[in-house]
Amino acid sequence: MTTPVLAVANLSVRFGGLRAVSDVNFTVEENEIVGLIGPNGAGKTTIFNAIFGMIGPTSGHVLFRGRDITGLPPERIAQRGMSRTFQNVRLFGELSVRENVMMGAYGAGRCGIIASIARVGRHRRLEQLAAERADHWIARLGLSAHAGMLATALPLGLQRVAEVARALASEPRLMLLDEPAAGLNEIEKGKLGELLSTAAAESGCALLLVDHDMQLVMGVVGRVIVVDFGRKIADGSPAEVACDPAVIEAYLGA
Amino acid sequence: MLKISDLHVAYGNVRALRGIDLEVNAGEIVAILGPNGAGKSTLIKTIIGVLSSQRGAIEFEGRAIDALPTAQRIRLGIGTIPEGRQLFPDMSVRENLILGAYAQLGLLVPASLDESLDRVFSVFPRLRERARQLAGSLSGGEAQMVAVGRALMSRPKLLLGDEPSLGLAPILVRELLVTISRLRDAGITVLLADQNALSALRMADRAYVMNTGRIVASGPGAVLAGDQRLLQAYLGSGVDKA
Amino acid sequence: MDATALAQTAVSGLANGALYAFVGLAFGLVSRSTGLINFAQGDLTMLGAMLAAAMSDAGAPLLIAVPLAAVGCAAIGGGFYFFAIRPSTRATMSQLIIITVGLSILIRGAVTSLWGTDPKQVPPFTQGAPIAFGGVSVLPQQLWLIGILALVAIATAWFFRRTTLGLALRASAANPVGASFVGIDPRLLGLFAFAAAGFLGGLAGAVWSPIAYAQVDIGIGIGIKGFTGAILGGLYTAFGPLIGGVLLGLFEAFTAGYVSSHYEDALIFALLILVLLLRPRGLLGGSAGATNDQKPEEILSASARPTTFRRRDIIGIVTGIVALGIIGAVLPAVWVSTAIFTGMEAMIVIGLVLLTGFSGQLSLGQPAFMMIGGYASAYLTVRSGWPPILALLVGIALSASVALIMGRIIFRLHGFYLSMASLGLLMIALTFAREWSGITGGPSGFVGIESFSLLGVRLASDTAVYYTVAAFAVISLLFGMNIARSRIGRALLAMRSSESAARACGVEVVGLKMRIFAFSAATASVSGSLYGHYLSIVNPSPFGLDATIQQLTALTVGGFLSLWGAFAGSLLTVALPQVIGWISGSAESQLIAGVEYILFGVLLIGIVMAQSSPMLYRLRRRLGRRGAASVVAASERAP
Repeated sequence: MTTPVLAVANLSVRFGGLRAVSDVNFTVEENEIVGLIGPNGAGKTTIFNAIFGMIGPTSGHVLFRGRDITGLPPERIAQRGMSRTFQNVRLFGELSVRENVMMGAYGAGRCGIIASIARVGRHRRLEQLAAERADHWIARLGLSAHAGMLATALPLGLQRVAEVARALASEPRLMLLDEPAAGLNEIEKGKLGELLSTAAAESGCALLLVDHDMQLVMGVVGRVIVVDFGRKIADGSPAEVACDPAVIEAYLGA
Repeated sequence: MLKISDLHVAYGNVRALRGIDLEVNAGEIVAILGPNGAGKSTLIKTIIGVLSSQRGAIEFEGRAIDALPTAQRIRLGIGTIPEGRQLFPDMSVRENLILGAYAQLGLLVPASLDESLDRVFSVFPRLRERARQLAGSLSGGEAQMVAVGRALMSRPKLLLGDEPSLGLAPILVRELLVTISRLRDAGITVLLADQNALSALRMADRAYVMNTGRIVASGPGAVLAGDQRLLQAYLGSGVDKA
Repeated sequence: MDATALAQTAVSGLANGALYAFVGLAFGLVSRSTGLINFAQGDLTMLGAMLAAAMSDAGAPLLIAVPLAAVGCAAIGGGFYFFAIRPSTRATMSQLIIITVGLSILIRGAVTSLWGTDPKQVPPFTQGAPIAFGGVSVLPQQLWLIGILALVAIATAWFFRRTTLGLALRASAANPVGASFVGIDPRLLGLFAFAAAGFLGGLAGAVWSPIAYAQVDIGIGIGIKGFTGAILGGLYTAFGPLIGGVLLGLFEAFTAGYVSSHYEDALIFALLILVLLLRPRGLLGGSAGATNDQKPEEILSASARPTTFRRRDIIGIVTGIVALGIIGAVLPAVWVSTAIFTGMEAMIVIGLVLLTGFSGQLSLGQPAFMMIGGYASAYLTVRSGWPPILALLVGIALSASVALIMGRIIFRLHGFYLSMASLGLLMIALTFAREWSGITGGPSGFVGIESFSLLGVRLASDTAVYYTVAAFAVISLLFGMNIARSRIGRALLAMRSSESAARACGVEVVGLKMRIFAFSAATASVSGSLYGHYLSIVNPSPFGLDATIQQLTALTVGGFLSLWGAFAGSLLTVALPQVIGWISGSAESQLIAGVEYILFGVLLIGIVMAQSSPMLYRLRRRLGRRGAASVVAASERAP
């Protein structure tokens, strides 16, 4: 059996007295697309933030490609090959779409201020690498016509696509997507779902996505994990989960 | 009750609304549907006066309100549930609700406001328990109740809702829609912008479909809900499993 | 330790603390409602004291003079908001803050013209000898001050809980968008906050003045202390400024009484930095407030600022170098020193463009690095006989190291909290320069520094200095360009718009901020070294908050993201006072000196208002639209 790309073991997060996440276990295998759903306030985003090092878990471990990354800051985790998108799109407002996507490749190598001032060869190679990756994903995700535009001037649907392109430009092994469909209409949701499937297949990266939108989640993912009150209540194929009584009661409603 | 004619709004170079004509009659629930970026939010913001228009007229109960500041429009009887709720996170639920009546208050918060608070608490008994809690510590569903309650504090005749169901679990969306129908039964007219096309259409008396700043279709909710071609064109597949 | 002496110290600390608390509350009101720091707050306090004293000198009873002085300051605060802040709808936060700097200068000018620079005093409210409590003697006026503050504290608590305006202020601070939906007009809040802040400041000045003398230049000191207190307690909380101010007054009195009055400032700011490291949002916590320039620049066109070199950049640099060469040859002798100071200022501003403009970190402490450079050059060339270029390089290394070490500490902070910590560094550096006379020469510093030389060639004439400074300025510009047009420049801009997203891209934000801080420290250090060689003296006096304000003004006027603007902004701040001086003739009388200040203040306000005026905005938008159209066209043409 191969090592899972992500393994979350006994993860708990507490804010003051509040248990936001308690004792959650799950894995994501290589090339797998997994959905994480649950009612509002169930702890989905908290789990995301704990995996990506944005908050420190109270107890438990996060293993990424077999190595313990618990407690590492997000930039280190990003450099090791994980990337993410945000619930409320966080593109860099003063950069063009292409430059935003180039930022995705920032962690591909180290090259500081002095190297930039001196324009050493490493600097040029990194810039070239970033430009190549950016152009590739921009073309692949159909953003070519907008590459020179200020990212925040795009409509929301395209902003989400640009954010996915930025996350892909780091050539991640695992991409976390936090409500990628929020604020999109049915057509855009459909397109985004297709795009995510193809991008994951092409880049060979696993996806873990949180969404309220059952349609998107069920259409794209191979496996669903359901959380409620900070606990995992179901883990299985979309069909299994959809008829799980616990899930129906907590989330879908009768 | 509300009559909008030839309304144009632009941000910088972007023309968000390009000639909107729309009417809402007393006692109706009217839905505004359309894809993201169609201009629904802009329309709501312009009606309440958070944005100003370049051209066109907005009349409320026969009176032109284009030049009035937001506070005055609220005093005339328009309440808003803004997009993304926009609560005041580090203030208590009670203070959030009181601020809903801001436009009608004098220098001090009067004791008579308790009556309005009681009315909101009778719609959302949950909020009475949470009155002293900070709004930022509420769950999504409770926060949505505060947003609706805050809009009701000014005792509006017309309630504007901008994507009130966004980000709520399916079970909570249904509860919200029930609440809104109840408000209509209590005599409040409702204008609702929503992406959740079918559930909004089923509830609405009439609906307008917007796209790129224009109204592209309008009619009774049930009729639009049956128009597969329209739903395909502007609202996606229209398949709504919830 | 004697208990009576202890209590005596506490009383005087409490009285000064009351003054700081008043001023801090005023800062808090303005920050919470508008997100601004009102740089003129200390001057409004000074003005309150002066107005009350002038009225009382003219025979008005105190019962009239004191309230009238407070109301006068309220009117000035409110009027300033109405006529200068409110119309500047397109201005960024930083531009608005520079407008308040203009008010500060204007008030000082007006006071100088009206009453000169001599100290004035309001008579005590109640005559009579100090009252003795046990062995502790308390001035009646100290009781007045503390008593009135207590009343203000109670009124504040009532105001924020029970009044509509108080609730609206809190709501708007928490969520301005939400506030607009319930009908709260931010302009009403801004007007109220500026007027109320003027009232509090004026009242504080008038009540405090019988204890000490008021003078035109005390405003800055009071302002810094009041703001420090507010930051210490928590700027964005209702009572943080009050508690912080009182604590600051007590701490100040005890360090002066029991440690050393010489190191008072350094200790206060060391305490501030320490508290902020433990409680990054002040003692009472509260919101982090707006980041330094949260209000983003208007999107003028759909095309982005380039972060790679363009042909235009190279043409610009070559043209710039040629122009500087020609200017040096043809500039009239009277203007050469202006050009030299402009170049030295521009180097600092280039660092600030990257630090404050690109990465959004507002440092108020840059003169500290000028001092390090200047003193390193002075010490090594005068005492050790080193060649100037070597001393200059040592200065750079020292400045950059200090920036890296201090950066690791202070970049855990955000917004105005970071800004105050950086000001703290400057205050500590100034204290060392004044007190550590074995190395720094104390208040008189070093004299007789020889002019700069390179490879044994002395560059003594004004023209030679001009070319030296120009060369260093061009090098700073080129280095700055290479940073701005690179992955680092991109990462800085990214960090400014979202730190969390930048970190998710693998950007080590604290490390990057430290390094860019070190770069800005290096350019400031070079500027300081050259300053010492040019004037042949180095002492602490030119490196105070005034220098900071001048640099920020140059940055704002030149444009936050424009390296070229650094030169334009510097030219304006260096040359404008000179031009005003010439126009108004020699500054013999106080009246004329005051008028110069007024003129400078008005011009500064006018220039920044004009920069952000709707007319200019429309013009830039029209130009921008053309740019955007060509970008779209280009992207369509591309294969």
